Amino acid sequence: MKLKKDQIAPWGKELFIIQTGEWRAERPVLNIRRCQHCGCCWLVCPTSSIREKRDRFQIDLTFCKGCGLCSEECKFGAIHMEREEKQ
Amino acid sequence: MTTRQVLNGNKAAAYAAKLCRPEIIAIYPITPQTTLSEYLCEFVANREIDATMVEVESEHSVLSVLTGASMAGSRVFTGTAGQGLLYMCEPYVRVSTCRLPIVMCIINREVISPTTIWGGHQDSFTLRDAGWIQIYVENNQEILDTIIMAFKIAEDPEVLLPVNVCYDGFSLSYLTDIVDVPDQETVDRFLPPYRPNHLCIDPNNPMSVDPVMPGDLLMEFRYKHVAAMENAKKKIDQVDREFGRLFGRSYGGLIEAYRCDDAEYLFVAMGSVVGTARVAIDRVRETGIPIGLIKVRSLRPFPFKEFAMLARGKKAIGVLDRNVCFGWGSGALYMEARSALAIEGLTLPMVNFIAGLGGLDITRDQVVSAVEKVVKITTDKPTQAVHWLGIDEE
Repeated sequence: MKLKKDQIAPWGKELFIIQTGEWRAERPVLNIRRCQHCGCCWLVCPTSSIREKRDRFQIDLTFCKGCGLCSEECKFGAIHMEREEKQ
Repeated sequence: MTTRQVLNGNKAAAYAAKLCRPEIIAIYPITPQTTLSEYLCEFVANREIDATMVEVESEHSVLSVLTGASMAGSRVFTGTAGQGLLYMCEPYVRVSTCRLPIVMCIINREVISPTTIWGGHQDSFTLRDAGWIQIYVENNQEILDTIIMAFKIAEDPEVLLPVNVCYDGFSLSYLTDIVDVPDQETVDRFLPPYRPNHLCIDPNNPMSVDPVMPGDLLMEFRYKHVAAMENAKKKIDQVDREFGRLFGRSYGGLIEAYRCDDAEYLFVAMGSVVGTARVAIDRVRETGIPIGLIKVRSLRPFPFKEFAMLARGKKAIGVLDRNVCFGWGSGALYMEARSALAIEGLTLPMVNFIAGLGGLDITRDQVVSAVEKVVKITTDKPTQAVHWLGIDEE
């Protein structure tokens, strides 16, 4: 039996295996001039792709699947979705 | 020093939990578990236990709270019954697949419909394939002792699985019996504090819990889970022996054989009805029929090798179920027993008895008449493999 993981259960380090970023058809784009730092996007993001930096929020697209919740929930219209270009 | 007390089953369970020094308790009252939650609340309020009692709004929250607490390295305890267990089904499976050594009593109760609050094994039997260890006990002393053993089994690095200590609602939970309560020092010696060194969530060392995963890894975790279940078999026996050396009481581990050595026939039961069955077996033995009794303590993992070893060479076996296995037309323990024999290549005549559903009494005379049917099946051709005691008796 060849086992790939040391863990006995599905929790621990190095377990982000599924590249959910590859599912993305639209990407969120943040307009930092409109952002009021309320953190609503950070709260609703299911993949924890909104990062809180010292003075502003940032979107990390690695695991963002493009669900659009952040854009939908932003009260200030600071996030809009843009179609991904075919590579 | 051990103190001899008169305790109902829920109080015995509460004392056992107290002796195991849980750090977090979350519990939601439901008949026939209710007084267990009251006793535990009292212990916490009086500072007799150094634990945090989390007042939750449902059974679903009970196991969700304990999942987090256990992941953070706490020893945790709870208990539930019937509909409460079914309501916690979703976190119940997550607890076992996350390999959390939680100990939870199931105070066995029938499931609805029809509306019932009384005893029966249908609740825990319905969840027998959800990855928990399930041990069924016979009396109040065994409740107390098995809870103490359960933590030791659950927290073993080779096991790391949650354990249900299942005891009958009403006939154990609310009835009193003499129980020897061991002293704290001896229990501490038997059960050291839980110090997980495999996994522990920690804000200073962030990690992910249950991220979305592909099938190859899911299969790998199931494979490890199944292997742990197998390890639990020898651990349950080992811990039982160790407990016996320290406290002077042991229960046979996975399975107990009563008067089986010279027996030609066997009767199989689990839970509190085993006490009645012992008396019935003694009575039938007096008439010269060599019959023995098997008490299955561990339903999961099922001790199929040990069961088959006891069955080898016997003439016939009767199995008493306080549940039904929908789709097979029999009880579930009966199907487990059949499978155990098949694995070892044994084809013995078997007969099943379904009794005591919804809190119905199973009397000594009923068990005696069932035992007599077992003896008859080799001479008479059985017309029906499953008897519903009280319904289809002629």
